[in-house]
Amino acid sequence: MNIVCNGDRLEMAAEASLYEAVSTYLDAAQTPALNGVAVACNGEVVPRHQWSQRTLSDGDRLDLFTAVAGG
Amino acid sequence: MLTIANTSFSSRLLTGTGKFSHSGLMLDALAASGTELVTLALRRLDRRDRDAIFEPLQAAGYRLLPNTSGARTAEEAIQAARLTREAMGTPWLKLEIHPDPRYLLPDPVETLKAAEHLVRQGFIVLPYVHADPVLCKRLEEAGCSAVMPLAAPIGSNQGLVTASFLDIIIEQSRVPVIVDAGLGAPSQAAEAMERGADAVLVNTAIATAADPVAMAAAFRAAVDAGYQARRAGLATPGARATASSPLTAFLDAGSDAHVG
Repeated sequence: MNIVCNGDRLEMAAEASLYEAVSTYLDAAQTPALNGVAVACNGEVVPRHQWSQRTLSDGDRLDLFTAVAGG
Repeated sequence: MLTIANTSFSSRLLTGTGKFSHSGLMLDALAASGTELVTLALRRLDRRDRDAIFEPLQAAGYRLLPNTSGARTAEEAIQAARLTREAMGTPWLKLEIHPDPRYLLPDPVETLKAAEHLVRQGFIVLPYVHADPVLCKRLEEAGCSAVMPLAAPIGSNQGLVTASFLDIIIEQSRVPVIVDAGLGAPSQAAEAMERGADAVLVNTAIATAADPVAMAAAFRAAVDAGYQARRAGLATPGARATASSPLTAFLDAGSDAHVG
């Protein structure tokens, strides 16, 4: 199935979890650290402790956010 | 001690983490400032350009105050708050909603709306607002844990442009007043503290100084001096001179005369 992660298309096995998708997306750039990251699935914020259980469907849109410097 | 939402801080200087040329310099400056509460922002993750800022700050033991910078409406700020709570593991929030990119002035209507909602959701809300005493009171009544009125537009280094309104806010507020934005020099931070602010937040003036670490130390000393002066009780200004030395001694005695 295909999902969209921060605008990039990501091909995942059927019923992959949100955690797997996020790991796949970040590992591709050798940045596996998930500390300081939040994820919304189709606009709904998914708590970190649900990332492993949350299964994705074809066409789901993930938005990843992270802490950056700011005032 | 400064107490916000039942949490005590020895330092009355909050610092932002933006605009430093690199994160090592930022960490050194934060250490020199003595700050215990630092602001962060949230952005869409760019996997090609990860900003490794969260872990070093967490490791250094700072309490984090994520902001909602970038939000233009209450709805966007509420979504940003949910994301920062998940990303940074804290319900503390610097609520800022400024739709206008030119002056970055906070929208009072959207800010109050968002604050009321977020307090009910269990967030520790510190709203960034204009120096509006009525609005600050309304935010306090809504359950905000502090108010953060601006001294001048963000990053403008203009100092205490809103001084007389900050005085009213300070007089009326039952929650800590943190003067935020526009403080460009340690003397201005000292004056804010002398006027009775509970704390100040400084970012640009430290981050963009020629020597940010030295400037952070200067702000630390200024905030401390201003706070101590406030507690000591400032002398009242007057239009006329009042002698500090006995003016008659020179004329009367002749021998033990002293001047100055």
